[in-house]
Amino acid sequence: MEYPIWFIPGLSKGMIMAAISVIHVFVSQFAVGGGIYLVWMERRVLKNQERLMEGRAQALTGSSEQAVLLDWLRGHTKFFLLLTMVFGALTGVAIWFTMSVINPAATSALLHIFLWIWAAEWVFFLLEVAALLLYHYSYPMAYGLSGQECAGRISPRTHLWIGYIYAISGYMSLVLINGVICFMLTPGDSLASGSLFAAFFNPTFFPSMVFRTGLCLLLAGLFALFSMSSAVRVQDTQARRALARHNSLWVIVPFLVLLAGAIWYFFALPPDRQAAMLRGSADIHPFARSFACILPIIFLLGLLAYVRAEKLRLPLAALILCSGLVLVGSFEWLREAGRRPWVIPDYMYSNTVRPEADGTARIVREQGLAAVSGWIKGVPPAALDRRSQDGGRADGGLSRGELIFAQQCGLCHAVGGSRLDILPRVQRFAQAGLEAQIRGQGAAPLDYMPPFYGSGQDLKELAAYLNLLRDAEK
Amino acid sequence: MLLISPPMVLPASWGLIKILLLATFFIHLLFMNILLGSVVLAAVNAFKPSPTPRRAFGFAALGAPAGNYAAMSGNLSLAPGLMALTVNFGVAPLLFAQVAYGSYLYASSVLMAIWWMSVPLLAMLAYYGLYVAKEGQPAGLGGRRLLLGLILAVLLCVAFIHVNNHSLMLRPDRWVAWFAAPGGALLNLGDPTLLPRYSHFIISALAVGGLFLALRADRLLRLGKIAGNRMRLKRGLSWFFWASLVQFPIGLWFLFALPDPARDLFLGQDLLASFAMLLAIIGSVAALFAARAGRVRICAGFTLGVVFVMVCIRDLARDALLGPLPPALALPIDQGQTAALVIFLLVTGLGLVALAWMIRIAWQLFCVPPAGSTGTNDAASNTGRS
Repeated sequence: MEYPIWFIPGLSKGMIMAAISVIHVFVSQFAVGGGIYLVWMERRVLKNQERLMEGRAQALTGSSEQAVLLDWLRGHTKFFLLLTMVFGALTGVAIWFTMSVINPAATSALLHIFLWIWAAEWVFFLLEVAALLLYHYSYPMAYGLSGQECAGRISPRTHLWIGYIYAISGYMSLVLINGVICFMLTPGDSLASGSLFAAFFNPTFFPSMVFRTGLCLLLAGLFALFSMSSAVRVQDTQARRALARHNSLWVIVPFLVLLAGAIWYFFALPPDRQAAMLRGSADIHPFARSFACILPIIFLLGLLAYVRAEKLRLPLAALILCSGLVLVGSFEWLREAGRRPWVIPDYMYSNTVRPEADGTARIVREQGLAAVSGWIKGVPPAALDRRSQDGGRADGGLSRGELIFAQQCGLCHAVGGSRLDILPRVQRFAQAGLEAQIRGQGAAPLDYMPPFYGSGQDLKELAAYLNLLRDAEK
Repeated sequence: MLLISPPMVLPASWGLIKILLLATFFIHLLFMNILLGSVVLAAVNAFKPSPTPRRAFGFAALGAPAGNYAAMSGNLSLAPGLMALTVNFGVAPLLFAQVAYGSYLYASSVLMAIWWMSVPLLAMLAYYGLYVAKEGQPAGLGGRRLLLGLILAVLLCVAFIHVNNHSLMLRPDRWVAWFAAPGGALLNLGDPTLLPRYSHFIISALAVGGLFLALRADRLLRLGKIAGNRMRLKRGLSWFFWASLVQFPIGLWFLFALPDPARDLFLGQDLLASFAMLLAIIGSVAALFAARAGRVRICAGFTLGVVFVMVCIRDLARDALLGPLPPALALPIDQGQTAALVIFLLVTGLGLVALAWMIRIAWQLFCVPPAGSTGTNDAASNTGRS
């Protein structure tokens, strides 16, 4: 309402947001779990080195395997750096940029409410950048890998500590962002009390932390299996088998944590959110089903990689990785869809309208949207609208009905787009039917949609635009 | 018309948010300048023809190894790390700017949505390109030219989009263009401040890129590494000098392109703004003299000061152009914001300690030569235990 709208009729803004978000979450949660994985593995190597030096029989591997493992770890660190710090970080920035132009009102609210949480998250981001760069580039100086002669300039223990800083910073980023994301699903009583503490530690904060911790560690295992089969191949058969088994365990064990977290998460949701997820609408149902199907598949693939560790090749590793992407995608979609019709429950609808925003709702109902928004006022109402022969505005701009559509419907619905296309949805109705349908939004059975916000005249303008669309489609 | 959306009540004082905005933007600008300047230096020298025998002799006399490119692309090895830090330090000021000036910044971002959303993608391309330039060694001169040319073009595009957005946010009168073009493809091309503003940023990057090359060369010379570094020091300072000199007419162009309320501030109407402008000019002149005298560290000191004052000047101009903000809406979660601020400050404090420890290790590993061929010099380890 208060901001201009980015509007291209066939463009599904929800799809753009979802695609960037899923890819980012996939890589960034690998960044969190992968950081823990890297220091875990390095610590394991160090322990083993100590055992070897002491000549103890219970050393896990021989010195040659140790060298192979270290070389692989260094290669995997580089793979990790190139993927997470470049792609992961910039897709994170891309989510922010995209959200800022698709839904500036919600972005603004979240940045204001959680300013210091975001600021603290940025500090951890800075530590992640610095620690990961140093961790990667000092590897040869700690271990003298790949024939380089600079070993011994830093002790392996110091190198490990740099890794700990990365891992802790990555995990803290997850903790902070998790609080904000969960607030968008279950703000609890924080909006009534105005308490930031309640907003952050909201009803799904802890179950979501358990779920995401399991997911991050599982992704670390998936990517390690993929990396050792593709970008950083391990040639030595013995070492390869041992590493594949170890990495498979990083899929199998965290899976159990993830599963427990998912169950707890669901039961921590308030009944209306549970109902939204179980609603089984065309938009939610495929993702609920794919989430339920991919869970056993990913577990079985992890087991298969463990049992057939010596035969692990790229196709299986890639399949396991793809199943991880499906898992992340289905879960994130379910979580997003479960919020409908809200973007922040009880505060802002998914079309950025606030239920009773500062007394403006009455003005809008009585005088129309143009009374509170210059962006709508600047577009002439239908009666004054000069149109070209094909029905579009003479200057190429939006008609008022189209603008109201863009503002109140366009965040979810596209015109002829791939997702929630409005065209088939208006086919069944005449103008009066469309008006009744719009008026019925926000109450059962259309309670998954926000109520229409505007005067009777605004509603007529919107219905007239939809009518035009229907006629054009015919 | 009510095109400017009401802001939300800030969760902390305006002054504190402003300080954080300016401090983080200053650091972002430094990293951005070094990065962009370094890429320009490398790209320009990659496109220069091979030195004539006479010039090659001159190179050799200065201890330079293999002509223009090898001498002037030294910063490229640091470029991926610089890019990471530029992005990181770009996040913080944008966060604070969105909170402080969201009423304007969100609107301008929506108007140019397609360009704005392409920024992370372009930055990613440049980022991967820099890794290839650092490690992949593109095939032959043609490959190197192509790669550096592409990286430079992409970075210049990113800068152009930023300058468009941050100038468009200051011109609500130009937002009405949206009514005819709501597809997010607008730019602020008709704004008379756009070109001088953009040129001012880019030329400043050339100067700081040259200065950084000279600073590194100076450090290596002090460590006794002569090969090529006298040449780098001389030419780095020369880039700095000439680019900084060009900044004076461009700065004047920018100043006089500003609308009255902002321009007059710096021409005596406001004491603080005029003093800041005078300080920046004096600092720039001092840096030029230091560069001519070959005093690279003094030159760097003055330049740091000038960049910071320029950041403040930019802020004064922005506030003058925007005028008072509309009345603010209530913040829905207002309890516990001070506690959250304290947590942020604690995290920042701890983060700075960890950062200082890592910088110390990095300095000892990458900037201090090994102590003898047999020495292990595990100072990093010692600091780690201390």
